[in-house]
Amino acid sequence: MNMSITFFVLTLSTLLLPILTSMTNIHNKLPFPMYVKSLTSLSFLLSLIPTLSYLNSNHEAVVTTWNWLTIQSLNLCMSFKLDYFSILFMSVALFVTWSIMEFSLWYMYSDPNIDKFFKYLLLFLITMMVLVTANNMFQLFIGWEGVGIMSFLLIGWWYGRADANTAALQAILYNRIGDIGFVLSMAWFTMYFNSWDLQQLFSMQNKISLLPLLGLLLAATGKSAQFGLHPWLPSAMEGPTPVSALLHSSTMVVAGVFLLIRFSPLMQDNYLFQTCILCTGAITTLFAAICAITQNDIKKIVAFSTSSQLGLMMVTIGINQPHLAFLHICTHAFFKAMLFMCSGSIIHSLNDEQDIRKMGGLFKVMPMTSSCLTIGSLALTGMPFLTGFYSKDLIIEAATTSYTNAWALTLTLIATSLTAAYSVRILFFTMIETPRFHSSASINENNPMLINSISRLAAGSIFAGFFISNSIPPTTMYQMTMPTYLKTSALLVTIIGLTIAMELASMAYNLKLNYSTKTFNFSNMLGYHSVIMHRSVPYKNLLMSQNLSSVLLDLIWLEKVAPKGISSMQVSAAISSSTQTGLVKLYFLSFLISITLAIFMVI
Amino acid sequence: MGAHLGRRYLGDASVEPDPLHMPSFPPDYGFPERKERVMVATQQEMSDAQLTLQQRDYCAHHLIRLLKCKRDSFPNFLACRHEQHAWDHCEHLDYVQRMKEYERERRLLLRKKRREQREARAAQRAGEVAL
Amino acid sequence: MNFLSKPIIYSTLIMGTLITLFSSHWLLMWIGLEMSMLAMIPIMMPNFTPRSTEAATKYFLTQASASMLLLFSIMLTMTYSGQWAIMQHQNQMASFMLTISLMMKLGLAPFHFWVPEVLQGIPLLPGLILLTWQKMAPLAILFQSFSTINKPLMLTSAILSVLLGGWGGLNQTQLRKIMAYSSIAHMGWMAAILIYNPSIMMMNYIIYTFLTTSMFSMFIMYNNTTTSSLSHTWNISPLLTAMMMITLLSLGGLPPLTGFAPKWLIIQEMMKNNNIILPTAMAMVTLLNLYFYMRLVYSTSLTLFPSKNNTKIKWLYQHTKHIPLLPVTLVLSAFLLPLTPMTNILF
Repeated sequence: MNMSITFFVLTLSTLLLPILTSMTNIHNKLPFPMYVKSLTSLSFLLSLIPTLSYLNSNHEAVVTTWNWLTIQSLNLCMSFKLDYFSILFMSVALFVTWSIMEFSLWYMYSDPNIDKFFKYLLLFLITMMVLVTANNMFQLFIGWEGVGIMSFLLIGWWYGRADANTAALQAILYNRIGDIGFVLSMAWFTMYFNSWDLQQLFSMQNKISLLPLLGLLLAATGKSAQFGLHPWLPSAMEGPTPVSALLHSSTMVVAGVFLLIRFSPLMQDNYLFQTCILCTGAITTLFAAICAITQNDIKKIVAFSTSSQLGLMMVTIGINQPHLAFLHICTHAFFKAMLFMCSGSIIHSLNDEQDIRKMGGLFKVMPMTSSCLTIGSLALTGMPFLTGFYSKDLIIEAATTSYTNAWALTLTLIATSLTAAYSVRILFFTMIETPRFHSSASINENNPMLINSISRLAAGSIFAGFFISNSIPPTTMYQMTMPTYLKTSALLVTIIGLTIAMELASMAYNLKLNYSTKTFNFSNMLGYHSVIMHRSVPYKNLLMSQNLSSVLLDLIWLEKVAPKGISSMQVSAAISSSTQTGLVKLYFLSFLISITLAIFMVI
Repeated sequence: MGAHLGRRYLGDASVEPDPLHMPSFPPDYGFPERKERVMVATQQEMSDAQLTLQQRDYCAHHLIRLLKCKRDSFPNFLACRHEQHAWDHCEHLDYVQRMKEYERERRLLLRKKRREQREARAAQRAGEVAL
Repeated sequence: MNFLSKPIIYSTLIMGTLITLFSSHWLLMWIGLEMSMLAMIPIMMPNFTPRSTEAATKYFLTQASASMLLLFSIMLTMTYSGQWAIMQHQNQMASFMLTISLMMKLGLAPFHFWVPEVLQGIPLLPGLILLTWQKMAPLAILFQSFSTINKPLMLTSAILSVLLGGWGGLNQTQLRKIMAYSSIAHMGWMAAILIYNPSIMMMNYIIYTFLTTSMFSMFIMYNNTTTSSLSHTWNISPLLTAMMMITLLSLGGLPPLTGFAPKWLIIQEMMKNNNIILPTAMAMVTLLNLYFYMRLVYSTSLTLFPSKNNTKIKWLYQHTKHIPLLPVTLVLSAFLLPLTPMTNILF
């Protein structure tokens, strides 16, 4: 037991090493990126020790060191929580990051700032570790903000491009909205529970009101790109592909879901709040799936599918199965990171071409990438006995057999079938048929850094679900009893979606495309959300503010009241009081009037 | 999903039991010889096995056995299929039993409503005769 | 003017005021006032131009009617109390008459119309005498009879003076008129404090005399009568522009300068007497004065006016006029603030 804590600390300090020594030349034998990658893999191997120890003994631990500060009775310690969630997620995240770093060695090879890029990735990983292992809200908030700011820096990596900058700003602003919720919850907990310690908060679960929980939901909505605060995730695809693979599929975006999982003890008896989560998740999963169908940018399709899967995780929390949601986080990390890496491989090989309409026929020229893309898509759709199946099938079963909101459930099922549709669309457009790209593209995937990293994750996409779900200790009870049609419902809707998509694709392949349908526009314009929220609302708002400030305020305060009003008043008073003073008549008139008044006053 | 949702939306929702507030009838209503279920695992055993609150149900003894087996044959995560199945089956039976309780509640509610309607009709008829 | 008449006239002017100051007899006091008024008239028109004659006539008419009223008030007092000695007025009517007549002589607000007109019509030196020396005698009478003065009458006149002094000056480009309105505003401040603490009134008068003397001396030096001629000062004497700025700001009452002392003491004294609204209003209305002082500062020393400038190096030439007291009054009008505590000893 003590050993697992030692190795946990060692895992973290291994990650810190390259950051601390980046100014020195300790690592001058290897290039800095290689050094970072090797230490990440070492860190992954070290993290397996606490994980295996946990799987064996099922013991959770809290490590509290160093009293940070004490404000009145609020005590802040540096405290790590090594439980089911943090231990498992650490291993998964390190494994994925290791592969992605190796992939970045290939993908970012020609970037002049590759050292800085790896430093960013590493800093992100450290903040993510802080987030998942935090035992109090303060530490959690540090990690939370840390991943936010690293996401900002990494999305805006190619800061020379206006789009990348806009996307980075958009991400940080949407995350800020979520942070309002987080800070609200923190403030509420300080006021009413006087503690930020997770154990102490959970011990007060009967006394909690809806407000802090809604704050947490807002935080999760911002970070995990749920409906309403979702547009930053597809925009974040402006960043380099390794960033999309690491941050925007497997780690950072699941932080919101992870937060809700962390706080699930507080909400397990609050049915109203669970319904809120359920509906948010269901809307997100369906909306993202609908948007994914008509996108042509390969990374955006994968991004929307990530958003859809995040919605599915929220649905799972909404039916009070946080452990299941966590399982989906873990399995999703493998195949989604791999899907991004495969798209990165394709994009790189086709000279930075992201439009799937300009791909095709890649099955012949890029066999490895194509195979892994297929594996990933199948795992995503929940093909039996691939990784995705072990969590997704359980989620759908748990949802269908639970006593829950049938409307949300229907949305989730539709989204599940759409998953198959857009996965088919990627495969259909990129791999089969004839090539539609320029013949000048020099396609070469025979680079060990690419092949190794993708195949490692492909192995993960095939086997990880099996390993994880068999070795984790039994947590909450999954539903075992259901009729056959419910047992096969997940598979059925997926197959229906796949079949319809395939049929439509092959039937419509040679037809002239008619862009005018409203449903198509709704999907292609992302539900008009960006148009409304990013253009018309700010426009109206600015217009109103401009009118208010220039017409109303300026006119009233500057023109009519002060200072122009005062000045014109003084000018008119000055003119009327100092003209025509040369008449003796006036002197005596004023004298007469005054003296008369004075006499009347006396009498 | 399925039956209860269909009934709730399409059929008569007033006789649909609320699973959060069950049972509303005495457990031995119609079953005079019915006995209360007993836990096999004791409180002490469950505490020792560090089971979470949700896991301390009538199948906890199977779960304790499963956890012990998993720990004993640790690196081999495919062992303990038998224990796993025993626990799953117990949970399945438990679920079936809960569903039966739900159906009993539903039918009893239906019966109660039927009786009330009959009595109301009888009273109305009696009133008419009296007039 | 005849070389003999000049000393006679000036000595009459000085003697008149001194008689008023030293007498404790109402009639003598009135005689002193009349003497200085009559002596002032020939001083006001050294050249017999229609403009100065008009100004002198206007001055005579207003001052004569004020003297008439004063005499009437003296008669009333005499009738009711049977004595000529300056002491408390038992009769309110007589007190009213006295106050109004002195207000007229001082040019306080509703009787202020003559001040700018008369000042505009006469040369600068008589103007200086009119604004400083000629105020002394009426103020001395008010000083001696302050306790019987009707407060509402005096305060109404005070706030009106400050207000009209501010408004009138806004509309002017003529320096003498501006100084006349400035005088009206300052008289307003003096009238306000008179009924509470006449010592501060005297102090205000003295400081105002220094400031006005400095200003007029500078005007006399280059015979400036308009703002545009003032804007050439930079060419003639750059040092003087800076001193003029400081003196003008001092007139406006800005803190490190002398002019702040009376404003400060007046506001404080009125606040001590639970009169809060009036000093607030006066302080705000004085901003109008500050505005036209600032305008003079702006045109003199802060900017180059787009006006004709035939000789670029006028400052090389020797000054033809020498005003020996100018440095003294300039220093007094700028740096007297630290000596404010001495007012307790002086008065």
